[in-house]
Amino acid sequence: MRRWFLLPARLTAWLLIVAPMAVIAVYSLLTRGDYGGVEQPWTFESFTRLADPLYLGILWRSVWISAAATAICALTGFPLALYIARAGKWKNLLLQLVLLPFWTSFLVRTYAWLFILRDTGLVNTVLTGLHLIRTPLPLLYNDGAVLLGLVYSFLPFFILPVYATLERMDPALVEAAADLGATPGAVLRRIVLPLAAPGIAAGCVLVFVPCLGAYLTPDLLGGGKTVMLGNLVQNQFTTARDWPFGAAISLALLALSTGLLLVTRHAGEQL
Amino acid sequence: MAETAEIDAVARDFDAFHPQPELLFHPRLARQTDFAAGAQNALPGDRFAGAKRPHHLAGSAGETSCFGDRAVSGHLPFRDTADLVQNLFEHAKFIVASPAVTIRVFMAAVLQLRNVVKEFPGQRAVDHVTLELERGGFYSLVGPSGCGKTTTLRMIGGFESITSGQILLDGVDVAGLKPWLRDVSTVFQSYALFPHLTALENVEFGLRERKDAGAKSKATEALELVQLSTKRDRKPAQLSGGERQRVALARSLVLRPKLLLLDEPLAALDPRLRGEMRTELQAIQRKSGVTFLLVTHDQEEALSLSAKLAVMNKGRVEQFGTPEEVYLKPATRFVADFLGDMNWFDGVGVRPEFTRISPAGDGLRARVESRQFLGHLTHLHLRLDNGEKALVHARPEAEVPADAQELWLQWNPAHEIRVA
Amino acid sequence: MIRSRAAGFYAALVLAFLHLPLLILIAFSFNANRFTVWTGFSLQWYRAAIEDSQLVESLINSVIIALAAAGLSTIIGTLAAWGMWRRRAPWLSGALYLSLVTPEIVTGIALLALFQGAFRFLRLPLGMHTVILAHVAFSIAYVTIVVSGRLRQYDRSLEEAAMDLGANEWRAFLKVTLPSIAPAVAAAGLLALVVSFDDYVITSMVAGVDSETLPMVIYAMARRGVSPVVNAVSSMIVVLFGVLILISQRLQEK
Repeated sequence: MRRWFLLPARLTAWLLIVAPMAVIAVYSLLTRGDYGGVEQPWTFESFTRLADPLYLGILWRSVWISAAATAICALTGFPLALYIARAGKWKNLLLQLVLLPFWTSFLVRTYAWLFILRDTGLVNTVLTGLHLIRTPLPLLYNDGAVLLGLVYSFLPFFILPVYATLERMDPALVEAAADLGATPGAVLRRIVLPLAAPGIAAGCVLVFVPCLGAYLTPDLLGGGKTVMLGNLVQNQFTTARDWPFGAAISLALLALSTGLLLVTRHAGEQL
Repeated sequence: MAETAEIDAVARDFDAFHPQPELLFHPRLARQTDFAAGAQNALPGDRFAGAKRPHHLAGSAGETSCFGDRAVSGHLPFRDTADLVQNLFEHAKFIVASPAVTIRVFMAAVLQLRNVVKEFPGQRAVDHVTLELERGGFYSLVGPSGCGKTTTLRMIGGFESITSGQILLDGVDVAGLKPWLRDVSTVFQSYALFPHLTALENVEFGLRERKDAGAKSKATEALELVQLSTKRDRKPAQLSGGERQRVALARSLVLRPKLLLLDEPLAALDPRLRGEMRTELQAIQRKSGVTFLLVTHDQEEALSLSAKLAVMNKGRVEQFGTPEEVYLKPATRFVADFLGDMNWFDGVGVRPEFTRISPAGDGLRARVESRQFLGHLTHLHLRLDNGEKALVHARPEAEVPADAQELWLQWNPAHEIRVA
Repeated sequence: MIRSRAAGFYAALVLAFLHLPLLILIAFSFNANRFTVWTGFSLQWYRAAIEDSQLVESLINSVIIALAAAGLSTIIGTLAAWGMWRRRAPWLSGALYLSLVTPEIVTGIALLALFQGAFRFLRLPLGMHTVILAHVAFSIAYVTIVVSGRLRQYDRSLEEAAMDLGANEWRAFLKVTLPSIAPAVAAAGLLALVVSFDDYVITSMVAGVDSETLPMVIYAMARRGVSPVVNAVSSMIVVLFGVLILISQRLQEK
């Protein structure tokens, strides 16, 4: 009796989660076929190609955009998380407001920026109408737009864990510090931030990892110019028809993401 | 051990005489392998389909055998003559076939634990516990937290596996059986009432699992027994703590289990309510006639409710006896200290209520250090000449000496307690 | 310092940042003009959206897929959560964790590779069935998390009591645990529904020619050029999701 109720889940997990990844792992060691697909011989070539400066450049760009997005989320998100944690009876409402856009369609939210930033978009139209500019500003299809899109999409991911940590913090600690003579700035620096550190770390990871693997945002907002790892993977499986290489990149991306998460988890347990 | 072999032999003879297994409705007579094999697919009711379940045999709660410890030697567990006649009638077939077996069966202990051991990685929670409970009695397992009493209870109920030993319910080893196949019912500490069902539906639950057609009427009766008929359509959330406990009791008792296990039933209640509930528990046990086994850390509770109690410590049963026995003649120092207060003077123990203070005479010289007035008595904390402390219970009418006044501590040697 | 007006103003600013883009999008869906110059209130784009046959067809596809995938993943996920609550299943937890952690594009191409490879033997084309399977694959983890969360607060002794009274493990789950956690299961189901309905990346990789979903059509329209029809469709989606998620959250509070 005990064994069978986990069977459907186990079966599904093996077939639809593990098996696909196994196939990808296998593909990464094969060679590309002439018309797409894979064929023998077995080789490590796909992995060695990752070291090519072109692809390293893409890796580097993905990393710095993700890092920048994380930093911006942290700087803008932390004060808001703090505010909500102190908001008393407004806590739930504010939290809902933060989460609400998160629960609408991801595609729609990304498109919204498209609508605002295009050449014929809202910003340009308004600025032209106010006679501040004559030709439209190229706000879209660059790293900045992608950064904006990423921050917009993943800000709630940062706010939530930080809020959770701050909310659990005993308010008496702040009062005690003040009682002992600490200024508000010192309280923030020496009490609040250190105690919020686990939440901040979690928040950073929760933003960084999805940014690293982002596909839709750089695709829609970055045009062809901003290629991140996610776009590269998709490209290899469609236009370039180089499945082994795409598989190799996927594995690298997955390894990076999982590695980061495990490291933070381990570090979190140490605390 | 010899007893079981003997009964097995008689049972085999009986089998030869009555080859139809479905008549063997008394589990004591069912062959152990049959019960275990068939049990995997059966519900308790199914196993005995067609035959009537025996009217539950009752004993007088609180009464100890006047013939000594062993039930077999004489104490017939029937409430009164009418009960005896009814039971005899139902068991007429067997009595005609084999009177010796029948008498033996009725007299056997309802629960026997034999060298039960439970080991968790790193510690032995239950260490060779051996106990025997007679049908119809009110028993307790008492001890400090971590002594293994709850683990023992859970093993009897089927929620923990046994590392080694035997648990015999009416002579049948139930160690491998799943909880839903055992004829034992548990009242959980949190009562575990199903929140989405009304009180009545909660009580009906077990009966419905047995596909009992008379579930509703039996459940109604059970609720009447615990005086909650008016609240039968309420959900647990709308009931008070005491009411929830009574629903939990009714839910278990309606299944007429051989043994009812209660896990700290009064712990969750308001202290004021506890006294009332103790009396009610006793009454319910008497009325239903089911054997109760209570687990508690409250020694007062155990002493006041049980016919016999087992004092446990670090996984072992230190003493199993009547309340008077364990209190007045504790077997070990732990039992003496655990039940009530103790004074120890050079390996000899005296309970504070048996001590007196006198302005002169012999005994131990002491002075009063502090006192606590508790209404019905006064705690006097004395400091002896040799530096030790002592506690005296002074009755209200006694003259209480002034602080630092020299006095003598005395007691009747008959009340001395010496332990191993 | 923290409760000062400046802090409040800042909070409002960030919240505005989070909400304005969507509000602008919705506002301009009512624009009479197809450009970003407001000329008047009009419902024409909604009419155009409803009359667009491709949109409607893709909507129907999306609904079918979402219902099927959510149904399957709710059942499988709930059983998984219950199973893992009763006994440890490290491999299964690991697999579900993997599914959550993997970037969507990687999940998409992995499933595509699996279907292509597997179906070469079976000669099955990509279509609705592959999309449904793919959606089940990634939504199970969400369902499991929501139901696990509820189970963590659930009193284990209730199932023990049911077993004590004669129900075996499955019946105890069915008659006692499931009714108690039903709101959470429903919430998980709604979540799976939303997640499936919204998915673009994975769907685009494994969909066949006849199984276009709504997000795929929106994506194509968004790439093509400016069209307020996209605004209209987006607004409708926002409202729909908002309602579903609200219900889901209410259910989880029970």
